[in-house]
Amino acid sequence: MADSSESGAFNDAPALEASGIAKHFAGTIALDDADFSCRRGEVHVLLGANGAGKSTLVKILCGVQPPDAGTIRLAGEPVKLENPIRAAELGVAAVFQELSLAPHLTVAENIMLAHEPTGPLGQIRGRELRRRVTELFEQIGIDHIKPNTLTGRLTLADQQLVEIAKALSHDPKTLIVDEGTSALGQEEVRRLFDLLGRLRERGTAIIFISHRMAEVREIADRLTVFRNGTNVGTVDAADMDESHLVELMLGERIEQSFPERAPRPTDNDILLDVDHLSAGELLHDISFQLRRGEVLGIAGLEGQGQGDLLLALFGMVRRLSGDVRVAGKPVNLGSPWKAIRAGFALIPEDRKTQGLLQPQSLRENIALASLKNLSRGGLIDRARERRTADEGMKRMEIKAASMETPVAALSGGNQQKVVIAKWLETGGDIFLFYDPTRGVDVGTKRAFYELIGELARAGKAVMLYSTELSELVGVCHRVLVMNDRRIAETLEDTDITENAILAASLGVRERAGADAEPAATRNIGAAS
Amino acid sequence: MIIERYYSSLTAVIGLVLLAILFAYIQPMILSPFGVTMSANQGTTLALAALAQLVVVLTGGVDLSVGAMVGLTNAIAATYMGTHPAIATLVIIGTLFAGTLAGFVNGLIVAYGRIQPIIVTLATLYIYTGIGLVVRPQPGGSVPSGFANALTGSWGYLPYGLIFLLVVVGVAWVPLMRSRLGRAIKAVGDNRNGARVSGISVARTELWAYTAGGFFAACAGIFLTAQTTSGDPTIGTSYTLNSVAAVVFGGAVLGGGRGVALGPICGAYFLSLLISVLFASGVSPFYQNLLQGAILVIVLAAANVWRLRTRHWLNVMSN
Amino acid sequence: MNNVSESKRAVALPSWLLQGVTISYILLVVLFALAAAINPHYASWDNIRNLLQIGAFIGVIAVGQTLVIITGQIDLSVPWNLTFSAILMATLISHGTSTPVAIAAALASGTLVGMFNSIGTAIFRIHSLVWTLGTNALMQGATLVYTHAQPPKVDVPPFIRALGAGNLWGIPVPLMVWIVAAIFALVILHQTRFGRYLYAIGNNESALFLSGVDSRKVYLGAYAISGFCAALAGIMLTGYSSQTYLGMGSDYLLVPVAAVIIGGTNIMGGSGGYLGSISGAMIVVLLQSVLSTVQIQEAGKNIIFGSIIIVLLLLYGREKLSTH
Repeated sequence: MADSSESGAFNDAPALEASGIAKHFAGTIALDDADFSCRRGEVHVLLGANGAGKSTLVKILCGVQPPDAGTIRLAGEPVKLENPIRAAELGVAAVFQELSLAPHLTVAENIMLAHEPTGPLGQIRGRELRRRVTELFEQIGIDHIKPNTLTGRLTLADQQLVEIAKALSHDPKTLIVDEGTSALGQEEVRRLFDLLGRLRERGTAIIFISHRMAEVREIADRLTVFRNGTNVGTVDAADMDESHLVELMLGERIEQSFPERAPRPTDNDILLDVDHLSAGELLHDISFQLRRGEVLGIAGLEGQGQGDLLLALFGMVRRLSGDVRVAGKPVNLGSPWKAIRAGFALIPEDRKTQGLLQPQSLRENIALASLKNLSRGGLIDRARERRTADEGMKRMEIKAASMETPVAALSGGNQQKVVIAKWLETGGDIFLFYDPTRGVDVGTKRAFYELIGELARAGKAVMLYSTELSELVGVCHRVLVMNDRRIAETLEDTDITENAILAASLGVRERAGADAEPAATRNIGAAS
Repeated sequence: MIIERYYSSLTAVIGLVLLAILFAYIQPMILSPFGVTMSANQGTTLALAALAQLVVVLTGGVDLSVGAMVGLTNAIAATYMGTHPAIATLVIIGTLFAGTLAGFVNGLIVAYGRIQPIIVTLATLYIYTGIGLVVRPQPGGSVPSGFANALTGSWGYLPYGLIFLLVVVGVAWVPLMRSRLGRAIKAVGDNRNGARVSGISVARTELWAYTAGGFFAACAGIFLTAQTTSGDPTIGTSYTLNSVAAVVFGGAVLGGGRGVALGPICGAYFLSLLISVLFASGVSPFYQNLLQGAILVIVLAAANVWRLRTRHWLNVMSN
Repeated sequence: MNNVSESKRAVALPSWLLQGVTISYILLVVLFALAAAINPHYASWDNIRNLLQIGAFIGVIAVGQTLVIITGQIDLSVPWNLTFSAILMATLISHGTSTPVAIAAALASGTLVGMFNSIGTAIFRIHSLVWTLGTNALMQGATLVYTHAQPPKVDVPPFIRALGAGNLWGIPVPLMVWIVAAIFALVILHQTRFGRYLYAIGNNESALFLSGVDSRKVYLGAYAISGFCAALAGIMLTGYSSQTYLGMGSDYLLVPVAAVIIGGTNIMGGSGGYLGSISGAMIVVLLQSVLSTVQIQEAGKNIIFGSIIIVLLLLYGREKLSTH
């Protein structure tokens, strides 16, 4: 652990100071002349929307990536952090958002990875290694994890504790915790905070990144907000004003506007009837109905089965139980082609890895799902294909030089439009949108909302899974809130408010928790 | 020692024991010192080749040039020992060096050229076979009888070949796996990105893993030379696929991070013994290649049956 | 149509495919000019015809190999698939089966082996390099069991001999077969739905699957065609040498792959085409022909083709450096 010779009050000399840091990736600017400093014995929270540059800064500070420009000083001394081991030797260690553990090494082997104690012949001294880990566990109060367990056997929460122990094994003067609490339950977060508190008392500088405002409020001494790759303000926790922070994060606050929504269709035919749908550990007993012209939202905290519900309806999950009827007829889901025949269309989660053929042209991408209708005897009718692509581009207002442009050359919003254009051509009836507006600019979002409204008016049905609460409130007729992979609550019409959705997601009654909980757990990272 | 890691070797170990018992039942003669030695010697080259394959498989790659490196080192050893029997020791060292160098070149191209290992080693398979053919265009050459006896003889029931294998394991494999490099090899195969952010140089780790692979392949080549007392650069061909089969049968996972030496070694002896057992039970020798191919294909498929059971189609497609 | 500035970049870049193909044809012309400059005999019609005739065998195999490589996979079962098919045909003929039936049996056998390849790669998801090498070993074993290492002595019927070595109006018949196969490949790749799916798999299999296409069937088709082509080449080779023998496929493991890669098809899949493979096949044949005049023929071939593949991979096949 850190020297505790100077316990008590600390001077203001920054333990870590980064100035003028710049980092570019293939044309995009991740960090631009960013400054940041952290004192000894403080918990310094880094805030920022997705893509603000926090993670890049963390990677630079712990030596995973070199900066293009700028200097880093530790206790006033300029240093070069060439690699994570060098950074650790100089006293900077990090707990990574994506776990860095090897599942088939033991806990002890993982913790000491790349800095194992070795003997004169270069052999790893196993007993010494385990002794150090046992000692470390005693110091930080981990008593339920055995150092000799294979790491992959631990729960996600325990793995996260091991990850933290791994960082502490370097005895860091500066500890970076990047989303270190995402997998932890309340009890474990409590313990982590106790631990961080003790480290803080000993003079360790702690850089903490989290999207949970309640945690931030509890642990922070100071906060720094990043936006567009640069530091836009540092405040003391005492002066913290949440709405001000949100403004700092978002920059000029652009109020998202929503098109007027058609009234909820209560008399239309029931298009989709899902009855007791289950899929092993993925989905439990899901039942709901969807009428033509209806927009049904799906909400919940991360990983409560929302995505799997859409994927299951699209035939991507095998061995389902329960009944699914489309327009009264039972359908057999089990593969995407069966789902498509039944009338489903899925706008998938990640357009890069699931939606598009990046190097191929707009024409080829738009036609991909409807090639069967565009060809005769296996031969593609080029003229019809071009007509289809042209119509799709016009309908979605896709901006590109021509239909021969590779989609890789388009902006994110235009790429997403290509995915949607592809599905408009298949003549599907039930549109499943899997978080479609993530990483899309405000103008394009508005266009999506209009399209969703248009689809509904045309008698189609829409299911919209979104991580953005305002979107669900602004667009949907009803919202299914999921918790623990089942439907926890169904909200309708005017009952749909951000607070109500959050309360239902957390499993608390709205009145009881409306004031504190929703704001506290609100994912500000996804709010931009 | 983490016992759990050895569970994956169980199939190969039990398989080997059962097969040995079956063999002794069909052919009781085999229980003589000569029979034991002969059976063991037939598997030792493959066992060493399996180690060469395993060290690369642990990083998440596959080395298709293992067979070519075995053939190349075999050609070198038999050629130069034949012409300079007096300096056999030097030739052995040179051969080990040549194999290690071949592995080093593999590693260099894979790690710093950033090309899929499997296609790199397919290309170097050709290059090393070609170099072997330059060294020794026709099969032949000779080795000092002392050298051959030292590796293929036996002390009672204990074949020297087995001792040779244990020495290679004890002097090279175990120290490698107990070093930081060995730990890094497993970590890179298990969680590549995690290893990188933990401060391991992935490229350097791969480089030395392939280099080590070359060394173990050279050990296999040397043993093969003692066993056949001649050199043939194309003799190694079958070791490429059989080493993959031995490694997978021995519980290592193509994809990396998992595998201990015990399983693949037993897997190698199992595969070679299986051929002997089949011949002993009267199966025509023409079936040898067919059976080896069939075993490889079945072992590979069996290791991947889980894909048929997984719930998400996307898991089926990820490689 | 909307014209917007952001797409300028895309227009300025000529497509990757065009580059690879162009380079390979320039390389072919340069190599040929060099060979002709050293030995004027190379420029004679007799020699060119001879090269085209030999190129046809590689070219036919490359049809299947191109399709498979565009999906991002590879077929290394060609040598023994080819040999087994040819020997099966020869054996049937020696037992008195009529020529068309024997040919059909050979083609069916090759196609089935191709389909077997797709089981391992598409369903079990084993790296196709390892799995198809396994199939190759399996077929080697099957050939040895079937023949007891003694390929049948048979009078190769005139029709098959014509396929491998005949001339029609002064043009080698194998070349005609190649031309037909090439047209087939070009139509498949650029005019059909199946061809579109091949490129789609190579670029992003998940996206294709989520568009409602069973990608396993696409693999099945690609490998079946590759197996068919291997068998066809085996029949042609039987005609060419008027016999079958155990080593007849040994030249066709890496060489067709080299032809495809030299022709600008990306080994990782998703781009390229058969046009390049044609020049790739001719480059390979030209190199082999030049090498056959020097002493270390076999060794040199191995080293040169291995090195060419490495160099081309270093130029085209590198993985992006991870930024994470």
